[in-house]
Amino acid sequence: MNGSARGLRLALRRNPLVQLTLARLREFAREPEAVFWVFVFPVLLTLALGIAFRDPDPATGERYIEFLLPGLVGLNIMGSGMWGIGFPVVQARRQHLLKRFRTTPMRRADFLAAYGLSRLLFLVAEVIALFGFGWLFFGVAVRGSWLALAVVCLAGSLGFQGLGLLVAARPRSVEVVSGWMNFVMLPMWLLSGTFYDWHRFPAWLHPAIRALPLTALNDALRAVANHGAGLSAVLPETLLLLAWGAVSFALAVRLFRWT
Amino acid sequence: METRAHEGQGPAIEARGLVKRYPGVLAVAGVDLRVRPGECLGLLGPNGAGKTTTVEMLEGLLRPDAGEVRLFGVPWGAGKDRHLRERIGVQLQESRFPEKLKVIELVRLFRSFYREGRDEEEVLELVGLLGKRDARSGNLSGGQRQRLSLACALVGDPRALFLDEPTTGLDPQARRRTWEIVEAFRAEGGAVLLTTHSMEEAARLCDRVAIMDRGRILAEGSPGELVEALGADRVVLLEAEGPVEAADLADLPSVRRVTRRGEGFLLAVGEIAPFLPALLERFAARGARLRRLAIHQPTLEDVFLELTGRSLRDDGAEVARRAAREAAR
Ligand SMILES: Nc1ncnc2c1ncn2[C@@H]1O[C@H](COP(=O)(O)OP(=O)(O)O)[C@@H](O)[C@H]1O
Ligand SMILES: [Mg+2]
Repeated sequence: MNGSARGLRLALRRNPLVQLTLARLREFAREPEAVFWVFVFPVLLTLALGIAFRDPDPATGERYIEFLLPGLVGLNIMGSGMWGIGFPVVQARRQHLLKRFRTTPMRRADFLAAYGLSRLLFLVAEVIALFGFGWLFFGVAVRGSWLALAVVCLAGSLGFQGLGLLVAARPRSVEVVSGWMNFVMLPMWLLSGTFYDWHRFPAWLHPAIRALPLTALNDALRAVANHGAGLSAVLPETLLLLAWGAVSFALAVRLFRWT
Repeated sequence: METRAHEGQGPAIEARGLVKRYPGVLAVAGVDLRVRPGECLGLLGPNGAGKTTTVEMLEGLLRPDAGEVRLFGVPWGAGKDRHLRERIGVQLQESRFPEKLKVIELVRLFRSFYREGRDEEEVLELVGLLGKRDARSGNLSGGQRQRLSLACALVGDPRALFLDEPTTGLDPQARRRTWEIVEAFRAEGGAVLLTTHSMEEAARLCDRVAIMDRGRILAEGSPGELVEALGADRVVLLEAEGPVEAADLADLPSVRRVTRRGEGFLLAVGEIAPFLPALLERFAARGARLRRLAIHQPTLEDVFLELTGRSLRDDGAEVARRAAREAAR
């Protein structure tokens, strides 16, 4: 019994995917600012906005916080997916760590998968923190299935990780990658209906808005959380998110610079 | 392990006709080299000589514009790259580790990339970092960080080690520790290729030294051979005040060669006893004054100077250092 436990420990210790993932998790957890922006800030934002808009709209009877919470989750998945990949990749390139890894037999697939895996572990914590907070403080319930919610969050995270990797595929400085990150995310901040309904924009803009990954993620999250939609109802958005992820991942791998 | 048996025969590292061009620079202009198992070859040259570019082609990080690299007889890009990477250890000239990760975590991370390798703690012990096992890499001194890097290069139990300026910027004690680690690796049959611009390091650590400048290897041999080839028992550095030319020095007894160097002259001299009085006599006859005279055993530094007409280090720094050394006498 003891022997097999030790065998397992050793196997995990010698597994590159496990070790790369642990390195990512440790680096993140030991970075207080990153923890603040990913976990604390969204909760504070929810708290502030939830208090400001706690009363139901007299016309519709809906509370703004119910509309807002899924949007904040979407925004968080975008931010942590993109920054969580883009920043450390560029940092490692700048410090010649990527080059150093290239001199070892490390597989590229393990390296990339470790980023994805560590993000997914955080994703679970982020989503639970936000929805849990909304439920505890404002009684916002998730009406749809948890499975649908999990699938949508997963697809969203993969989509934005792909985008993050694409943006980080070539830059050698943190400043450059930050600029591109903001350039990519800003339109979605404005257009994707996180804080207000994107249908208010003129109709000719709607197709473009609908194609944005954050729009798909926000819409799907709202459908599940607010309107009780099941997995099949949010399939189009889920597929769109996965497509964004797959295309940008494929491009990123082709463009990727190790030095 | 069965691979080690037939490793003994061929060279561990072999390059033929390596060329690398960058826009406007021929960084490496046709380099050949070989390192056998159990041997340490030093690439000695000033900044910009092409050492890093050469090493990165050997490591399979850069593709040469021409020429061929073989490690253990196997070229890069022949579908066996992973197999080669299992067998080499690399320390880059400038790579940093994530500051928040601990020493043991980093060594373990690198260990996980190799199918076979050494125990992490054993390697930390070897490089003298076991006491810093749980320190974050960001809290290490320069020398400790360098040894951590060495530990990560050694943990895959490589048969060939590439070290790009492993001791630049280290204090003397840290350098000596690094040398001991490299010597131990070599003594166990590992092949080492290192770059340096320290002649002391090259002389102390390397079985053979290749002197490199402007993308070419100008001379190669054991430190002893290279110095012997100068054909001088002593090297004399002098500066004159007054009308003394190279021709006035060349016909003095025991003088083998005269080269101008900055304000003064550098002389390769055989037996020193007949030379000195003749030199003073010649100066007196010309009405010149000897402003500066330094005599030393020839070193690799002199070999480099002889080959290139320039000093290995920055000229300004070297002149200042010699002046300080002389003032201290
Ligand atoms: N990526 C690069 N792009 C352009 N020029 C380069 C590059 N890398 C090196 N060089 C040039 O090639 C020459 C050799 O550089 P390097 O191999 O780094 O020399 P060393 O390591 O001996 O100091 C230098 O003139 C350097 O400026
Ligand atoms: Mg260099």
